[in-house]
Amino acid sequence: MISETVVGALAPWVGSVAADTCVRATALSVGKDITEFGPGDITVLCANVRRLLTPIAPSAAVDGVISQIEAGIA
Amino acid sequence: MKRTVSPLIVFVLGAAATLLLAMYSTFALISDEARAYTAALGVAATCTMCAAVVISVAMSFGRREPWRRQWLFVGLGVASYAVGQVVVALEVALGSSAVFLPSPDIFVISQYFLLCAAFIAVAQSYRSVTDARRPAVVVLVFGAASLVALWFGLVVPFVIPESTGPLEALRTTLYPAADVLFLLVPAVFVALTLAQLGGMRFARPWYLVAAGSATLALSDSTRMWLTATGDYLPGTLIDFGPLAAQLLIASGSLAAARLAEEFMVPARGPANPAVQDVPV
Repeated sequence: MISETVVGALAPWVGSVAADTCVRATALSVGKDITEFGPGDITVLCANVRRLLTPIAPSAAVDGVISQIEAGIA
Repeated sequence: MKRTVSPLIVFVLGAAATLLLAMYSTFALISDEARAYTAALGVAATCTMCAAVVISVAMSFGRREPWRRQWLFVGLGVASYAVGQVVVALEVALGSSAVFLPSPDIFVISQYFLLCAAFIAVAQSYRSVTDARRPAVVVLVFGAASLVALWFGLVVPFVIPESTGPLEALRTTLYPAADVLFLLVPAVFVALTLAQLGGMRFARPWYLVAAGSATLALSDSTRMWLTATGDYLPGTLIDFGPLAAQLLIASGSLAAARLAEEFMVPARGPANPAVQDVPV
């Protein structure tokens, strides 16, 4: 499941609470349940992850985590 | 993140130089005056190295990265403390009346403000992912209790009766008050805010900075209290608190650099791909 992949990639870095909140907030913004995420939602998900991480992490790490998420989904 | 001078190399060189100086003075190879000078020089050298480490880490982040601003506040704070220690070393070497030297207090207190600014910047950056209300209530109660304890435990029984004037009383009171308000309260607030998120790796460098600030505040306040009660002995463990604090803060910046470097892709192969295609 895409949401699990994203939470799994984010949790070690920002904690499971923030990772879960990020995924749920994205689901809310696109009007879907977290179980309904599809390949078309990856762009919105990654944009939200970037917005979450940018203030609290170096940009290299933000890019790296997003690459891990994209690789995990692909 | 771009690579700069390795902060770890700078840190190891500084620590090694300080250790040598400490051994040199501890084993009484030199006179008492020279030992005092060596100790002051050692502290100044260590703090300067710590400042170089933190600032080089901060400058390695991109101009628009929030981490650059946050770590620059921390680095300038450590640098300010280092300048204060250089002034102390010069006072020991030349005598405070020999030449005009600014008061080291200016630089030491500057570190308090700069570290506080860094903590505010960090707390702001976590605003979207944490709830600041509970940590805020906890530190308000903690800060108020600490100030009350400071007033009734230090100022009323010792500072007011023993001060020669209101200025001296104010100076003796302001240091521990600043320890609480500018170091301990922001450090505890940031630690509690980050603790809400669980074991997140991006927060670890800030835990070290918070631990360093708390060490600085607690050792300084304890030394003030021991001085007021007449129990302070120079050269005891409590004197190493501020130095340990700078080392903890510098360790935090190294942890931040390591996090960023984990994601750096090493350059592989020649820069020009055409070179690879040249037939042998």
